[in-house]
Amino acid sequence: MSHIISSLNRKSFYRSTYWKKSIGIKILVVFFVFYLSISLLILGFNIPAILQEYFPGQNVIKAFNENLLFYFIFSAILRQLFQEIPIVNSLPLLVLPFKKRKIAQHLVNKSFFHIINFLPLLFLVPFAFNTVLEEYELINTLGWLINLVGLILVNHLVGIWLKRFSFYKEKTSAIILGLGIGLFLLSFFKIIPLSSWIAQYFHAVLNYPALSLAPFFLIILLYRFNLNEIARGMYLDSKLIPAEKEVNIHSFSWTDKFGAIGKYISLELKMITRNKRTRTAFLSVIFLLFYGFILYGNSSMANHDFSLVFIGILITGSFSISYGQFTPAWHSKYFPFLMTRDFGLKNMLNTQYFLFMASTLIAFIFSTVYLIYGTEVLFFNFLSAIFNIGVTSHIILWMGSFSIKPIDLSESSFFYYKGTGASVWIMSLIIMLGPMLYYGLLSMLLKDVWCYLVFGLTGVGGIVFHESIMNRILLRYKKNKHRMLYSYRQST
Amino acid sequence: MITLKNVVKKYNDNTVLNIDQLTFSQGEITGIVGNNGAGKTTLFSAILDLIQLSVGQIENNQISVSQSEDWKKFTSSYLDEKFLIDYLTPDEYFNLVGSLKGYSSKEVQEFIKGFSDFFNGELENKRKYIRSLSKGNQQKIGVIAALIGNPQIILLDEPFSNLDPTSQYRLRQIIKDFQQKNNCTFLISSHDLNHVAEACSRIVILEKGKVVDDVKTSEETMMRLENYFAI
Repeated sequence: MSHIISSLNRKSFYRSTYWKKSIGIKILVVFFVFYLSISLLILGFNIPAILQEYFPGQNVIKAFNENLLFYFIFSAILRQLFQEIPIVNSLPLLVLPFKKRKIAQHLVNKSFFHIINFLPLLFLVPFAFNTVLEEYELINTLGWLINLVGLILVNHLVGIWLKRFSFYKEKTSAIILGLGIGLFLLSFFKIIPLSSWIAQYFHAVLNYPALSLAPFFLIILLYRFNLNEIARGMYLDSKLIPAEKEVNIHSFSWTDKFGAIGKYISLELKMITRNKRTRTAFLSVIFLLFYGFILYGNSSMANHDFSLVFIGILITGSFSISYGQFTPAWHSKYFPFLMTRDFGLKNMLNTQYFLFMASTLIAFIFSTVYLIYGTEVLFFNFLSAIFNIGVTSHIILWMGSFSIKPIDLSESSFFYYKGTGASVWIMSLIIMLGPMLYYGLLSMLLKDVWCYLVFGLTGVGGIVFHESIMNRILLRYKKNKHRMLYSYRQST
Repeated sequence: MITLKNVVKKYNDNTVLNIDQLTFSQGEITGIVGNNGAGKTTLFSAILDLIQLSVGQIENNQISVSQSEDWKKFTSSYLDEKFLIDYLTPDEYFNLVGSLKGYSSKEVQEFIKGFSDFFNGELENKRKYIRSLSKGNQQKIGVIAALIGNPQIILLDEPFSNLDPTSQYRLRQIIKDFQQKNNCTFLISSHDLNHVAEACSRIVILEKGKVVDDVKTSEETMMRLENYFAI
């Protein structure tokens, strides 16, 4: 019986749409994983040096043990974002002659094979055998490592148990986040010396390796607990399966003030606020807005005109670039409706453009906080904002007419591979490639002020010729209509 | 109103629609019947310019559907749930459809009120998005939305599916009444021979993309249909 479930698991893995991704994106994902692994391995060998720098005069192993608490808090929060135990997938099995506990067992067993459980080993193993082994016997080192692995698994089992609540209570994640930050603050400011208690425990394990078996008793208990809980909840009307309750309806009636495109704006805003997928996509907009604090703080980047323009375009165009690049695809599910009604593709595109423009202005106003990095920054952001409104926005709309991937608005996961995820960043880079090349060319040909002037005027030119550019784009959309309809019909 | 001339749709070498000549005239309720794969939905998609024809031309009120978009002003349709914007509430959806036709939300609500029997009170004061409603209620919303704004031509693909028996009879009556009142043209595809024979004034049978029969409905129609589809 279990081999049937295993074979289903295998098939769902190999036949998942992820493998249908283009080879380019696969290579990129592999490259990211490889890069991350190498970085973690190197980190593992360099932990002693890093710890010595931040905790001078302390024993390296003791310092490491003391910071473990922070790692566990951090990973617990990450788990709430990344990990899922897809009970819904097992619903077809319920009416077949499988024992519920057996199905639950497979779900839990499968959940162990998650990258988040393996990544820490990449730096823990080098640290254990490179640093810990220097001071302790092999058996003590192994005990220490096994104890850590045990606690990672405890973290995992608690994580998937909590995650199941967040299916129907979005607040759980927030509570866990608050709890994590609370614990972090409590021990960081030594109000409750939690981290040193943990350190003492690990110190004890180092001396008495047999203690490392303790987490495994906990694991057995938690494992059985999870099995029972999942098996018990395997009903269609149990709270494990998400269901939508009555909703708060905000109608965005203020958009009426915008005249003809008002109702389209309100539709767009309703889409953003009422779908999980668009809400999570919107988070990347906010992330991009704050990206400046990382980039401007980095002095090697903040001194070049070129990188200032890059950052400026990224920040002021945060909405258009990360959200707008999926422009017609957001509406892919009901695209036939839009195409058979007297909806006015033109109005729809104008709405998009309006949103790009408005968001660029808002982002520019926000970017005034970066004045703390100098007035120069503000000047470049102003320049970029004009360029974004005049040029980048049009490029994005034009690229939208080539859109072929439908988006499922109900898909919620963070950093999901489909649609958003790695490909977002590639697309963002492609979108920015044109403007960056253009600026690079200008700065090679012209002196400072002239270069800024021509760059800014190009943006103004785009705004002046907006109407005729939009007509061109509209023609493209009309030409590609059937191709878009065809590809949106696939796979959703 | 709608004229198909020499229409062929092929996917690779597979011909899914092949109609020499077919006209749907003003004031008719035409039922399109046929087994799965007969080309009913393809025919509707072609009339709505959702797919490109391999050969031929379709005219809607003397307007070639692939050349101009003016037919959208007087043509309404509901093929499947892809015609619903599922993150809107039913009322918001109705209002949106109405506003595209230039109707105020008050007028739309007035119009929708006329169908409260059909909705069986299930949508009233419900603060729910369309996506969390049952298939049957979604179907009702889509079909009724297609009637908003005094359309001249209405295409409905399988409007009776997913509906409970009472709603099926009610819908049949709604279609007949609406046609009488507005003298508009209905194109309805269905697997339910009984409803088609009852509601439609003309029946077209499709098989493998071809018109195999085209009759005015009469006393014997039901027999003729049963003879055709029985094995």
